[in-house]
Amino acid sequence: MRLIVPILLNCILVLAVYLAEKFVPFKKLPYITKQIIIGVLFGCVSAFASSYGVEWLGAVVNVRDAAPLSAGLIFGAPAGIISGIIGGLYRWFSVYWGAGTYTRIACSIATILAGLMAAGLRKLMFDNKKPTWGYGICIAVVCEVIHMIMIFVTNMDNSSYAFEFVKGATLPMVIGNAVAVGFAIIIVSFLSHERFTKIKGSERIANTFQRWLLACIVIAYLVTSTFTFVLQNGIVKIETQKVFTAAMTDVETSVKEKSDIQLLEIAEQVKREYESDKNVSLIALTEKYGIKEINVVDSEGIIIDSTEADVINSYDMNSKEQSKEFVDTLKIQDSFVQEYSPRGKDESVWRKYAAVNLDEGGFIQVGYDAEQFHDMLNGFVVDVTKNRHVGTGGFVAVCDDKLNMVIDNEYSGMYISSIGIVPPDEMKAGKTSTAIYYADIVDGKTELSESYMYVFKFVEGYCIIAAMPESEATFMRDASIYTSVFMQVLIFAALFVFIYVLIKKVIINNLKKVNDTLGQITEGNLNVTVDVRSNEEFASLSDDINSTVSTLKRYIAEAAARIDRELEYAKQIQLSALPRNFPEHEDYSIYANMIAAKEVGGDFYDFYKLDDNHVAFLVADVSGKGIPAAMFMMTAKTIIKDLAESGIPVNEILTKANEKLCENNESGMFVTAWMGILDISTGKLQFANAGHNPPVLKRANGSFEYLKTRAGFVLAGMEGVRYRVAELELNPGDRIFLYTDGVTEATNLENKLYGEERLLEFMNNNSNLEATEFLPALKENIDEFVGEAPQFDDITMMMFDYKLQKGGVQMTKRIFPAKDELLPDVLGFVEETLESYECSMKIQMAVCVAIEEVFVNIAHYAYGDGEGDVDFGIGFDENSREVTFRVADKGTPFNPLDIPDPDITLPAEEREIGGLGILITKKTMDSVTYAYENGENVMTMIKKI
Amino acid sequence: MTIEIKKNADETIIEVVGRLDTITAPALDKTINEDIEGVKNLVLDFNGLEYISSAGLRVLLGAQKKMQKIGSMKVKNICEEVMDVFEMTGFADILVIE
Repeated sequence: MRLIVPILLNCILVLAVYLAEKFVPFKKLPYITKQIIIGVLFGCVSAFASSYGVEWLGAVVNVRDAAPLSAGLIFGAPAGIISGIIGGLYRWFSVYWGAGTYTRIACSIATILAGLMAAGLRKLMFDNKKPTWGYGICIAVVCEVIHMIMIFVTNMDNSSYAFEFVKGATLPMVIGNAVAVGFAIIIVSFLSHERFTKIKGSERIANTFQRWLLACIVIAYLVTSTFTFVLQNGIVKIETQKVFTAAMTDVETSVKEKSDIQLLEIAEQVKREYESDKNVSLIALTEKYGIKEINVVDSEGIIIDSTEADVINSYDMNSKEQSKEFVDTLKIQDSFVQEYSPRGKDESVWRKYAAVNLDEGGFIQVGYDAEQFHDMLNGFVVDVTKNRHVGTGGFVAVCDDKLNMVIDNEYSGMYISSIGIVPPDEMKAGKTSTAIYYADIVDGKTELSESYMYVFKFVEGYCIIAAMPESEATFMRDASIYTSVFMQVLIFAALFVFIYVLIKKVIINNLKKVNDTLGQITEGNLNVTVDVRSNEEFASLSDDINSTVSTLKRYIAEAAARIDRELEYAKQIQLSALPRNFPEHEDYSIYANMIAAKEVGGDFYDFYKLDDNHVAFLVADVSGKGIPAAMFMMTAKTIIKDLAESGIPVNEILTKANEKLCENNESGMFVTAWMGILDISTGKLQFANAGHNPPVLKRANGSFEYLKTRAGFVLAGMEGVRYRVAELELNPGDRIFLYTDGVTEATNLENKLYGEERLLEFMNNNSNLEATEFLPALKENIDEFVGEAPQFDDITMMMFDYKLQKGGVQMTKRIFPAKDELLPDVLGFVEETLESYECSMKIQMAVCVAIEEVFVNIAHYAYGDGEGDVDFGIGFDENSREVTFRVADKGTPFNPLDIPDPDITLPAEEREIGGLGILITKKTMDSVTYAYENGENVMTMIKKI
Repeated sequence: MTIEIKKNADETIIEVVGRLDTITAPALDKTINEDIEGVKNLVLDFNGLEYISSAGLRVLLGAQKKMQKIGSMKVKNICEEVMDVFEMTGFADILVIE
């Protein structure tokens, strides 16, 4: 009970230190300072526990070791060592103020060891972390066992005293210290909210291993302990038996010898009296010598004289075993004393006989019964047994055949049960038994009873009892069991630690290494290698993992290369889909460039002549990247081109393209586009914008400026979007620059955008460069700006230059109502105009036929029954001497060029009337084109004159 | 355009002078189909014809088809410009040109 105080104190200090560690000023102290403070505090608790114990056999039972263990296990190795040393030194010097010297060395060393053990185990087994309370208790137990062994070892010269002390002190000290340490750890675990119940699921290999190892060790420990106990018990029995036998034999021999000698002396004296006087009264002799019987036997073995008249001359000594022994023995020796035994003549009577040979032959035999020789022997027996010890605390007692004590103290003559022995049946029956019996025997002096072991034997009518205190008999057993159990605890604990540490070093630490590396690999770092080579298995595991990783790496590289190749193909396809033959037309020029990003983007540009007088050009950007964007770009490009070639206005191209692109656009991609269609001869540019960057326009004598018009929604973004057309008159020398956001949104390492302003500035500084030089220069400028940053988006640029070198296409225009009657006027206008170009009459005539055909065609069909006009324009290029005729009407859209040419090889009767007019026109003119634009059927014809 | 019809023993000769175009062609058509009913051998003298368009060609084709069934039709004195038109339309092959 007294031990509870230091146990509680230890717990309180643990609690205090734990809380202090949460407290900032303490927390901020350097590690070693904290450890010293904790060590000293626990050292004090250890010292206190040392004095505050329970007195036991001249030493003190205490829980001094708990504090260093708690400090070392919970708070850190240095703290444990420091408090262990303080506790140990305190114990060492405490003899000067009254502590016992008996366990001085053992206790001091054990306390220091406790600190060292806590420190070492924390480092070796628990990864410098606090162990669980179970381990804490085990460690405390092992520590106390060491303590006890130390007490044994340091007191070898007085081992029984040491043993007595250990026997009493072990349990309280083991329990006290274990409880103190266990509680301390539980408190900390509780405060740090650790779970006491096991989390279901996989557990660490170390834990599984610890548990099984512990189980095996405990089983091994129990088995060996039980075995030791059984073995020691057996040994004790044998040893005790030996001790008893020795004592017994000694007494037995003494009593027998004494008894034999005494009877033999009587026999000798009887013989002398008989030989000196053959007629002496044998009865008188028996009375004289205090014996019962005298027989004179002749050499034949026949009793010739006796105190008992009925046997004289009638009893043959050879007739019974008991008496025959005398006859036989005395033939070879002079005298013989027989053991106390049943007589031959009447076996119910016990008697002891001795005989000596008579000088004239035969022998004389004397015999007495127990009462008679006991009277003579008792004194001797008392002497023999009086100071005889069995072992150190045992004794020999003698009873007569009535089991009354033969002893010279107050128990003399008393029944054996008076000293505490309840006679067993065998004893009562007077039979000797080999068993060991137990009895609580009362000490005559102290009147205290103690548990004894005893054996008994009947000798010469006496019952000799050899008894020994049980404690003495079992001392050796207990001592050896204690030491072997202690040693086993120590050995198994050491074995446990050793195997655990070994396994940890060989397997767990290696597994951890492998695992850590695998973790890095999983996180994507394929360049690490596993290199655990401490044993063959791990070396092979490392090699396997490394080769797997390198294979994986190779596959990834191959896959990456394949993707790169595919992207490269996609890029090639994309590039090849873009027109590279830039028209070197006299009236305009187009030059464009697309620099694809590493991943294929969706940029594209396109241009195509719709007819001799119209050219379409556009730049577009598909959202997204990669192959899907490229595919979408191909689709968009094809759709737009198809629509453009059908001759519809540019805004309708985009409107219809949007509808088509919206169909089946499940990927949600969209396209921004800027598209323009230029009437080359007039310079009229019609354009539409579907969410695209504004182009940059430069007038012949002006500077570049953004052509900002209201843009429509992106293509493929939403169904039903309608695009507006915008119009612009281009004059020779005007330039339009189209681009995608890859230009303006080119980003440098500082995340700055190239931007519209920078673009405009560059363009104006380089406005006179030819397109073929301008675009590369601009790209170079962008690269310079971007620096090391990678190109994220395609960069597409297109420069459209309007030149129109065909000087005159100052069209001479005239409008006529579409009526046959006006034909002469029309032809008059044509002839007059051609005349002004100095055109030959022949050509004038041919051209007039052609124009008539076109005009009559319109007059007859274009407006149906209604009325309308025909718009004539005639232009002349002096250099090429080409005359351009433009004939437009606002009637029903109709392309006369679609009419198949009549077969002019047929004979007259098979010839059709139709188709001749347009045939003449086509054959007369150098080129005839038709377009339907802005609600007009436009026929454009060129004739060189 | 002026049209003059001359008849001799074997043939009826139509002299066309001026331009045979959309406006004038119906007049020639009328002459051939109505005015010279019953004629077997028709000669078209284009000595004065300076211009012909597809409307004129149609009249010629119609005349050719008609005359082919009942007799013959000849075209003569064709100027270069008209001949060009005949050639480009294959009429040079279907008309009997002298």
